[in-house]
Amino acid sequence: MSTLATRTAYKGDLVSPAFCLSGNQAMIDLFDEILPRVTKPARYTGGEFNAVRKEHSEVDVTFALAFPDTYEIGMSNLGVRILYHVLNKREDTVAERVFAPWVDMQSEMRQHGLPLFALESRTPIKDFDIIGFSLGYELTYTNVLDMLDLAGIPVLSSGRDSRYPLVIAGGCCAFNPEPMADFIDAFVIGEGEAVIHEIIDIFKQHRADAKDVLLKALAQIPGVYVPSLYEVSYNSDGTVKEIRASDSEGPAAVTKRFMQDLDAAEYPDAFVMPYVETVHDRVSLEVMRGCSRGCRFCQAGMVYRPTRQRSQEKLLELANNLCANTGYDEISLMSLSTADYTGIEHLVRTFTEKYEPERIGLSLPSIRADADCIALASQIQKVRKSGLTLAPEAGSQRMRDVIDKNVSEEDLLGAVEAAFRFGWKRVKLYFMIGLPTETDEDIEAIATLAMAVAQVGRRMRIRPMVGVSVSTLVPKPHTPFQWRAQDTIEEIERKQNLLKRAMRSKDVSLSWHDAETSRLEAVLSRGDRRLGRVIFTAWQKGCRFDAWSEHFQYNKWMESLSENGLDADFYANRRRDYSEILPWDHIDCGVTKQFLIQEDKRADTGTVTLDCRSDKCVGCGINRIAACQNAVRIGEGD
Amino acid sequence: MFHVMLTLKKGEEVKYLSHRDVIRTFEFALRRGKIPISYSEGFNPRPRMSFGSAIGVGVTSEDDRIQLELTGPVEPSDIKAALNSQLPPGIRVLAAEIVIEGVKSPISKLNASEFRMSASCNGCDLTCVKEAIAKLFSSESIRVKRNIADGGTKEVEIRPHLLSAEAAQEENGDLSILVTLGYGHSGGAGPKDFVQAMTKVLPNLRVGSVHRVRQTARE
Repeated sequence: MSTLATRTAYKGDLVSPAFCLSGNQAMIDLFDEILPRVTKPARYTGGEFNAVRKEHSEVDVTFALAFPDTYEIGMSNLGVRILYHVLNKREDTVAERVFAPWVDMQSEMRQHGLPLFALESRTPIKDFDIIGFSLGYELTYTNVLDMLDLAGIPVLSSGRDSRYPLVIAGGCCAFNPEPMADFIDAFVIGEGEAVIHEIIDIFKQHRADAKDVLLKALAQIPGVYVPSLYEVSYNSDGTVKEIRASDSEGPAAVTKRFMQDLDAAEYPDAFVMPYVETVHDRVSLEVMRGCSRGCRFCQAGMVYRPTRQRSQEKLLELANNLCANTGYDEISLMSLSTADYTGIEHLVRTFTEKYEPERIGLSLPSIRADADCIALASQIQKVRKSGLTLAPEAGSQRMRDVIDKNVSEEDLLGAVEAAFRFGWKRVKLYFMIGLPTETDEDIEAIATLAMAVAQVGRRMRIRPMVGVSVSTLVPKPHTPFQWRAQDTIEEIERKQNLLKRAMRSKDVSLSWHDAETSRLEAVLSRGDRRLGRVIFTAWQKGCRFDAWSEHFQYNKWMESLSENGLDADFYANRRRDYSEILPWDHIDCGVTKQFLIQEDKRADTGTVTLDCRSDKCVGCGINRIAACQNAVRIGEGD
Repeated sequence: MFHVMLTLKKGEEVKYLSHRDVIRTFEFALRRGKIPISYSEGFNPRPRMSFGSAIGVGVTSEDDRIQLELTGPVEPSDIKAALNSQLPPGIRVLAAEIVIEGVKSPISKLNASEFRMSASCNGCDLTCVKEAIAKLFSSESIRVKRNIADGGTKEVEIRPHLLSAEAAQEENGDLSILVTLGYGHSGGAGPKDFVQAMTKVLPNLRVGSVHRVRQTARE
């Protein structure tokens, strides 16, 4: 049976009542029939240590935390872990987890009529009050539709009345919610823990009301975006003409929510312990949120401002609880740029002294390319074992100035030399191609730099292993590059080949991201509301797990675009005017458009903007909504 | 050196865990329970513990064994209590006993497992099953197919590892088979192999749950 046939037959059907009772004999028998046949069945059994079980009859609100990718990836997601903790701390609420079943499991579930269920109680997802999807990557969008459908829930928001769960979503993709607007009832813009309590409270007040009443009430919560309350009209050239709140039920602009004080923010004291090994199988300790370096391609660096730190005391307290309650032997100090944590040396020393005797290692996921950071990282045994990852992002100094990545060749080579001296042999370098104003010389400079890195090792009489990973720029909403065109596939592949030819060193291995994947990312990330039809069509054609190369079907996506009268070039390869209304203009991430324009213009001239934490306020605008310690210097300089 | 032998239950809740998943889960429990386990030397120290034979995914057990090497003497009952408070539902330490020094690791002596299987057979009864077992045991050679890593299959001889089998009828009328299968360095047979061999003799035989009752040392 083809996937499409099974899916169409299933759509709209109510789930067979025999399987609606949680944990009944029919379901257990079905499990025993299905699970022996699927890969990694422990993904689907639940019952892990630290998983929270509550009787649904004893709470007011049941919440399914849904992650539209595999268990191994979803279980590593910090946002899901935080919300699981925050929601389950409420006495009136239970939160359970659900992940996208892998294709073998899906097909067994459809064949046997087993609806998508939550891991903790095996309750069908359809019986939950609220489903909250975490949207961290555009290529998981079809999995959202797939999961709703597997649950026996209409995928279109307009097809669901109050008998169905409220479907909400958050995560960094929500900063351009428009492509998913047809499927999601309400989006959370910003940091989930800042707004989730208000959503639960409003839901409790209005749960008996008609769905539109509930949605209008939700839209009154700052940071909640209800797309059905907005109308979008288009110009004849396909650009957005107007985004208007219909009947003034929604605010003209939805401003993101965030936690001003990380020490006061709730953080888990335990993680659910996965049976199968996951991607981040360790204590994730978020030391800082936001980044003020201002790299012009980086969405996280713009939308998660201001930069906020957890205090060392708080971090020690959290680490103690998490280590005791999980048994993990590794703590990862997480943030967008951990080396920028004020007092990082002291933090690392304190943690190393405390945890080394307990055989608990430290890891730093991101290390800045300078010798001081390497010296710091070298104190951490775990890091040295794994190989060193540095992200110069571009090969030439000119290009690094364009993207405002403040790393010089001297910094990088100094960092690498230090790394080799401290005993590393493997170095991985991340680069991007397709950057604004890029020339062939800039591409060749990537090879030159990588070979120079290898040469440093050679000179030190070690045999270095330099891995170069090259991705393609995907211009993202709310970044200075949001108006820029992505390179065409032909151009991307030409540059990749150019780089391949220029890389002449047996110490360097080269890998890159698939050009078609980057193109689809570009289409979806800057898409408008019309892309909902495209996502729906692609899903109907059998697209799912698009983030997995073995399941990615580029041609079906292109067909889906053209069948809906849309064109990938329009979204991916078009340079926008600053005056154009962008599909996400009604979403306020805190950083102003004027600032983004200014930064984009500075890119053209290769003018660097310094980090406001070490220099003067750059006027990004976040101080309009946040207490920003770096903004006090406004007006002092200039 | 202080060695402790644990007997573990692997219940319905965790029967789909792979052997590797169980080891992971157990290691986390050891750390949470602050069990004073010894670590190996070297670059990547590992807790010193050894497992008995792995059982397949989908099989429950009341006799999985783990032998731990500890850094000092600990009351076995304390270890049992500490671990049971840290293990997920379905995994339980049933017994903990000190392994006397100088004795060869008891875990390495175990080389056979007794399994209880629930069975049904469309159109036949206990007598048929008994006859099928007798027929199987009278064969000199029993070859079964096993899946191998690359997606293919290979044929293996399991007759030497079939030690005993007995069919019975429960009070509720259900059939069950108690089978002892050997394993060791020279190979072994698992419940799946046995079921495959049995269904060749008795095609209508269906085996439901499989449960390891005990591990033994055959002579």
